Amino acid sequence: MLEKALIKERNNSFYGWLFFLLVLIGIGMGAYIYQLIEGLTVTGMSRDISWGLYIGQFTFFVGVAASAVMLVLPYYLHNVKEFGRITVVGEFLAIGSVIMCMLFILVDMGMPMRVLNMILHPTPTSPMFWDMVVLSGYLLLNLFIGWNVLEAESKGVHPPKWVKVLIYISIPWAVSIHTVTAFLYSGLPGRHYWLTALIAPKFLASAFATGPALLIIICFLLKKFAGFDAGKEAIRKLSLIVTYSMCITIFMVAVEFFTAFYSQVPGHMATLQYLFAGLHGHSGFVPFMWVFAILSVVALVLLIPKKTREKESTLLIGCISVFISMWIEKGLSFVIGGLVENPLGRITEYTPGLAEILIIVGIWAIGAFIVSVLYKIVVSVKRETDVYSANTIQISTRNEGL
Amino acid sequence: MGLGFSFLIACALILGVMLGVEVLGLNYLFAVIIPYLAFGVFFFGFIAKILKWARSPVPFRIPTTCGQQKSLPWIKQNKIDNPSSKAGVVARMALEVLLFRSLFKNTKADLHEGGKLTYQWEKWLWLFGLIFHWSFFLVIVRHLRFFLDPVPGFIRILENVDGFFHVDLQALYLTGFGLLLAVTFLFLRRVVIPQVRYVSLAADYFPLFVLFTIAATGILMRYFSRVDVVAIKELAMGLVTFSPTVPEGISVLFYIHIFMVSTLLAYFPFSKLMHMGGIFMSPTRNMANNNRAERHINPWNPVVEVHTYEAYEDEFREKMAAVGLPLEKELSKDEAAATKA
Repeated sequence: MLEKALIKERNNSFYGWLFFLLVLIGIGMGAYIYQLIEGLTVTGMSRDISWGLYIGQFTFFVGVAASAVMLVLPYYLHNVKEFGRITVVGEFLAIGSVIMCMLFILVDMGMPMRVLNMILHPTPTSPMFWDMVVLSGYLLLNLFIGWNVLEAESKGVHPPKWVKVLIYISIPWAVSIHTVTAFLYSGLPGRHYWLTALIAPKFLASAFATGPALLIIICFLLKKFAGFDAGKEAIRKLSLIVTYSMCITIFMVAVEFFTAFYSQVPGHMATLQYLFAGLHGHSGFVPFMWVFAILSVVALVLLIPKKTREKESTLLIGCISVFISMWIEKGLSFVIGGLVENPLGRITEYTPGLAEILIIVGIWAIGAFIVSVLYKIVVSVKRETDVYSANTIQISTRNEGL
Repeated sequence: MGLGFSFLIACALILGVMLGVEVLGLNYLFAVIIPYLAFGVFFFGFIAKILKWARSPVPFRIPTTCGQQKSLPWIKQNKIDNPSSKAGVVARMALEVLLFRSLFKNTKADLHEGGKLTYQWEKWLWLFGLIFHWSFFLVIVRHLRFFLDPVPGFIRILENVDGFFHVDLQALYLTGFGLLLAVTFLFLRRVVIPQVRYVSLAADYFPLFVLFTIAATGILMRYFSRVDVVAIKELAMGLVTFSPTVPEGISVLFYIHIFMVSTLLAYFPFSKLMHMGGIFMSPTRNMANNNRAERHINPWNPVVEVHTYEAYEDEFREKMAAVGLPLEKELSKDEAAATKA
């Protein structure tokens, strides 16, 4: 299977793309070595803001990873045949995302060399420990499932029976990774912004908007650059999932305002005020939150009406809006916003360091590299099987003609 | 049979060292004499083997190829799988030695219902082979710290990368565990897969047992039983500076370790382990496939006495001219005059 990644790609820009990513990865590695030597002081984190962009990105990509279930569940439980062609695309996206998540955790550690203590001295009372368990499990599940299903397809046989069992396990498992990640936050009584049971459902809803939106974008790219067509019906169904999930997410973001402002809970209001209007003269996040608000509206306006949702160009703009707005909400403002007001009521602002940004870009590049190589395998296999099925159809129609 | 035999030999060797060191007090024998002897056998044996192979004539280009040969200009050649130049051969050999390329192409055939035959990429042997060889190589490079003083910078860098992860504030060398894991896999593969077991002999199992003992004793010494590293460095420096001393208080684990390394070294030139040098001497891999582009003359062709037409005409030119036979080279005027007269 891996050898299929080495089949020469006709489109030379593929290799240019990989090279570009390698350069970014190299820069990120350099920045990381710098961070290893200097310590986490090169980031924007401080005493008050102990989780920064790294953990924000981690949270965001756990969502992207979990969203694979939005293809797997309809296909395997409800027999939605249209997703058959792209379930493996979703699973491979999950592999890349989980690896990115793990890397974001690793670079957030001041002493990454002690990471094995997580396993050697497990702490079952901590959600961190369970996050490690569910994330590694989810990585392995997707690796085995995606790999075996695709291998079976390339051989033209049915996948082994045990894969089916793993698939059924992977469905609740996907929900679990984002739930446990939400518990990292909602289990902290000292932070008002996070102390709500709504976080886990909001995470899942936004994940099911972001992931499928990214999948739609990826399908467009695969069609444009690799000639791989996911099928119109699959895209249509995916866009419907994005629309519903986006509506639910925005709804959940909005209801927080009611609780905070109608009841005038000071702790609950502080973060929302800081993020959307500025507080005590600090307003670093206000422009981002405006972009978030505008893009969310754009996304909803383009996705809810059937006409714009089914038109390729507007759907694409809608999906990009979903992705960016959710990235701002979850990857940027959620984690840092929860920490800006310290328990003493002081505001500490957060400005990421240059090395921090380069490391993040490097990890994005690693994820994109892994996913690109995996998709190269998918496309190679699909090309072979497409040719094979086209031939058999030809032969059978010819026989019928006789 | 081969399995049990190798296992017994390996056990006997370990038992031998333990008895020799603990009961008979033969520390000097095991720490100095045997390592020197073993290294001598390895060094000269290795050279002798290579010289022997290098002397075998290889008259024809017999590379195994798996790609399009260099042909007409509009047919695309596979420059690595069917090399026609030295650069192609070097690239092919480098990929083979560093990445085990031919093993990467390993496939496994499966028969499915309805008589459908499929081929699956068989990655595990390639993967664990790669882990084994690279780990072993890096472990050996790391061991140079025992034989060099001061320890060169590149070894320190390697140690920092290899031992990035710490357990209880102590570096955990991934290559050490990689070596043990891979050797275990390679052994289990031979035992568990019936077809592989059928073709496995004592000579296949024995090196695995020796390597397993080396890796296991190494890990035991580093992480669990805590041997006297300073004394061991003193011993190692003594060995390489030809002024051997045997410090007191070195654990028997170390003697087992060094004896098994000696065994491996002494066994090396006479066993399949010689593939380390042999890979470079294999005519199926180290030659360019240019049979049709260049003429290769068999070096042991006997010298055949030939009488060329040119020499024949030189000998009989006058007589031939006399009877009017056509000549390639006409007679000069004097000769012609002489013939007429």
